[in-house]
Amino acid sequence: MRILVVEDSNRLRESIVLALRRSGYAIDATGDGREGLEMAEDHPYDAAILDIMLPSLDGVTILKTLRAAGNRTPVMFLTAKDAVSDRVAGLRSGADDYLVKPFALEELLARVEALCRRGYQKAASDTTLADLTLDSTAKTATRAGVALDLTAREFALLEYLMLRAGQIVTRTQIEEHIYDDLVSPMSNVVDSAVYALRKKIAVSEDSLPLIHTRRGQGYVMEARPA
Amino acid sequence: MRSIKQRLMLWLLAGLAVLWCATGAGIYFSVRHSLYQSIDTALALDARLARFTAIGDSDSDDGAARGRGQRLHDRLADYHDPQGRSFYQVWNAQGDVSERSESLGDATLPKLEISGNDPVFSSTMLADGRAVRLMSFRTVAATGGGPKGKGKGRYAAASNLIALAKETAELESTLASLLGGIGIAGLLAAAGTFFLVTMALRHGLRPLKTLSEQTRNIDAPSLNARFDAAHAPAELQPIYEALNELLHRLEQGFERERRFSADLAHEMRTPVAELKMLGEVALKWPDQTDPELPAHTLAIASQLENLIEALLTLARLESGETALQLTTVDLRALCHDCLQPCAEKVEAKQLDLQLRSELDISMETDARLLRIILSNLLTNAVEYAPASTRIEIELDPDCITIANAAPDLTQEDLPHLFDRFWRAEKSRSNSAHSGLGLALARQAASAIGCRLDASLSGRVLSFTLKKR
Repeated sequence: MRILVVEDSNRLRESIVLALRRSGYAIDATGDGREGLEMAEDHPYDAAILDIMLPSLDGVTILKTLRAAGNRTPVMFLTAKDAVSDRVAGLRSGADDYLVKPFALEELLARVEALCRRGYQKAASDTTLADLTLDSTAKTATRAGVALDLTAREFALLEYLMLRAGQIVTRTQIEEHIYDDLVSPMSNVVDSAVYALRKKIAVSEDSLPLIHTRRGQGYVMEARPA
Repeated sequence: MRSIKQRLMLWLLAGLAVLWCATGAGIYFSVRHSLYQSIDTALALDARLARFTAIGDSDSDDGAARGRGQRLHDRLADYHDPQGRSFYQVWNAQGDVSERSESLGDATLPKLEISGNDPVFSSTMLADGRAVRLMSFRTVAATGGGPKGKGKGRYAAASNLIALAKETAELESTLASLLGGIGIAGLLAAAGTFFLVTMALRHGLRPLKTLSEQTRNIDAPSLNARFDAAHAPAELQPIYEALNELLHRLEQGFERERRFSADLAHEMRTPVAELKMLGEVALKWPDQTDPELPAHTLAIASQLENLIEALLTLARLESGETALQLTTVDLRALCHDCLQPCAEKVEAKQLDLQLRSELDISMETDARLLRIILSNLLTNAVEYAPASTRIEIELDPDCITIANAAPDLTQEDLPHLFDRFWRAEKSRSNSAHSGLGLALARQAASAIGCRLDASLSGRVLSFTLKKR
């Protein structure tokens, strides 16, 4: 899951980015409104966190511009403005969520998670495919009752593939959603990550292969014999 | 007496009472006067008849004179009325009683000494207690002695003193019943007046009661309400208008305070959110703690400290609690002091600082407050002046001017410059500034009896501190 964070307080932005990265999200962050808008227009983010009062361009304007251009990225406002009128105005301008500073880290993470789910029309935090179950909240995955030992990025990759189960996912899409600008992935990074993930989810000899390669297109995750 | 109602009541009732008493007394005395007048007129008429009868023709002979004496007697006898309310008594020239009416009984009429011809009236009491109106006069017979002899002379010289009297009991009882009538009417009038005055005052003062009830219903959330001055009585119009103006000012003041509280909450939320996030991230991933965490925490704490310090100073200045400590302040030295903390920034931005003043310039003022003003103005100038521009500082005993280029500021921004938490840039990314600096500076300026104003001309923002 790749998330855009636009927040002008440096310390707060860095903390949020740190917390989200450690939770397995790929993060792009900026403290400038105009730059934030450009980033949101350039990349298909799974969710965006916007401050309202920003230098050069305020959060509400960014959101309105995005929505006017048909961008449906789930957006959450993160702001110190807590008046009911502010919340209403924020939500009416097209935001999916509104969080007032100061906030609890767990609440921020839960809300970001819910925002990401919304992008994939998912109602609960559990995702299941055959005997593989994934809990987005606890960040755990189990296969046939066996807990999988995954890194944050492997989990994010598995989550992304499972959320788009049955659909072909290209390498570019994986790059865009799992890796942020800081990583600058080479094309074989995705392949090796998928290879490592395949090995980890094959918990036993008779485990059904779930991640399939579509030559020249990408990967598709589904429960069918190879 | 503090009640308008009581005061009006007192004045009205006292005034009306005096008026009523005067009217009653006026009626009583005029009626009494006219009643006595009519008795006197009747007495005078009788007297004239009696005198006429007594004098007769001066040329008449003795027989005629004797006849006239008889006629006077008859006339006076006529005067005696059957009810016994009229009296007469005649004294002859020798002063002896020659005639008296039977109605007098044992009593006698007082003999009044009369010098001239004019009759004398008096009210008197008979020995038996009957009140009478008395008229005494002399019948002047033929003047001077004539050649007709002794007898004639006796009549001619007969200057009888006649006293006519009428009982006044009836008149007095009329007057007494009139007095009773007036008294009863007066009492009724007093009661009626009291009732009317009370009602009139209650009705007349009702708008005041309405006003007080309306005023009582006003509280902080309903400050936008206004009194309906258009339908108020003319006397209360100025009060209603003044109250409406007061409400308007209060509403503005409250609005300002509300905005300030909201701004303050907003201002404190970001640093608190930063602290909270730093702490929570450190707790959630204890093995990956950021080595800069203590530095960040300290910076946030200092920022909050500055904010609170500025707020307290502002509150003290606004409440007028600060006592001035006047000293002679060396303005050049103070300027240098205030610029010291921004020296690095001046260097980094390559700002051209121009200080124009006489070498020895001082001001008699509170050094601490002046430092707040200058320090805020200079820090602002250094902070917001674009790189490689000039900051001009002009010191004069009566006027201090600090000017710097401000390419992004507009005329519309000027009135807000001194608002608490107002920033030209709507974001809070530059958290080193509380947004209270200029508000503080202006408040401090007024505390030391100066005015701090901002003006913008040709993209140059200048602050002037002038003595009021």
